[in-house]
Amino acid sequence: MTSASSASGAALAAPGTDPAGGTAAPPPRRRAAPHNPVDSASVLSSTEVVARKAVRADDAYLEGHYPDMTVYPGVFLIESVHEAVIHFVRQVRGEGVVPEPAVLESVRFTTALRPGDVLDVHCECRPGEGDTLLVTALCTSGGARAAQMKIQFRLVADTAETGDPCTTTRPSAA
Amino acid sequence: MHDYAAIRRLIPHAHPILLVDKVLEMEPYERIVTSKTVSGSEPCYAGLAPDLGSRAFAYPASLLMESWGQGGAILWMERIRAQRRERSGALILAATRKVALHRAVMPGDTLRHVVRVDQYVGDNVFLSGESYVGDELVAEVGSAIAVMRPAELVSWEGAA
Repeated sequence: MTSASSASGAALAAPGTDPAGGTAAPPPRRRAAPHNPVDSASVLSSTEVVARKAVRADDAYLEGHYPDMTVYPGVFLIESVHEAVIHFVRQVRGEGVVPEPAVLESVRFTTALRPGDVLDVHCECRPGEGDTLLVTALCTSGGARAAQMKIQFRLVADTAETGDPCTTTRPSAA
Repeated sequence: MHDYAAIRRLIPHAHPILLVDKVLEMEPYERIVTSKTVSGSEPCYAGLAPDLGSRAFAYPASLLMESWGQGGAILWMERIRAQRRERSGALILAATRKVALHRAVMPGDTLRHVVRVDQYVGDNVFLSGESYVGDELVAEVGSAIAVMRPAELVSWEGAA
């Protein structure tokens, strides 16, 4: 098992905290996302990764969804799965490759989350055709199923100098 | 056609997650074309490291989906208003199938979303459509289901 705290804990630390229990500025993020989509992530095996995210009232974007009653947007669970898979690929394939969502084959949300809820993500990752990764994810909160997803990720080079994101080869919708 | 103020009055989403800038076309209550310009000043780009490549600035898939889906919310709320009814709960995305993301959307791009209502069934609506930047197809949504549920009902296990 490889945990986020031993491998890349700085990038995945809960915002506003440090191991000593004090307050620290959140570390710079490595990709655009609505907010930090996971607080911690751990690779369990050569095909499994888990992650956890506490939904916070001050998570970016929540104030508008909705002004009279906060509901954590279901689509943000896709970001938590994506982040867990980034952690998995970093551990299994190394730093030079990153996964990008190519096809959301099926996504089903079953329980809405609210501030104070804790999201647990479990992903099963299998190689797909070409340089793709097929991920089946189960999201739960407090033992209740929050979402199920099947997502095809494409694996791309991760460098500052290469990789025009606007010339991606079109994936085949499964 | 609706401007930003009209959209804000119509659907429950508010800043910073009101992700439709204006309505370009509308065929009540079945088809809509909306636009949204992605800006590097949006919250999703806050706190990024200074040494990242272009891919790190791809507009998040979650926000792309949310922006697309809000076109469906506009159609739905227009229909409810025409029926002289009131919205009876939160609008929530329940499911999607076969969403293909063809290429990244970057700061400075203007998204043009096409959303079709395939069916209204009670407090559920079935949607499909595409998103473009210019003439280039950037995403296709095979199907999506949005539901309207009362605030106290946070689980819809077994919904359509």
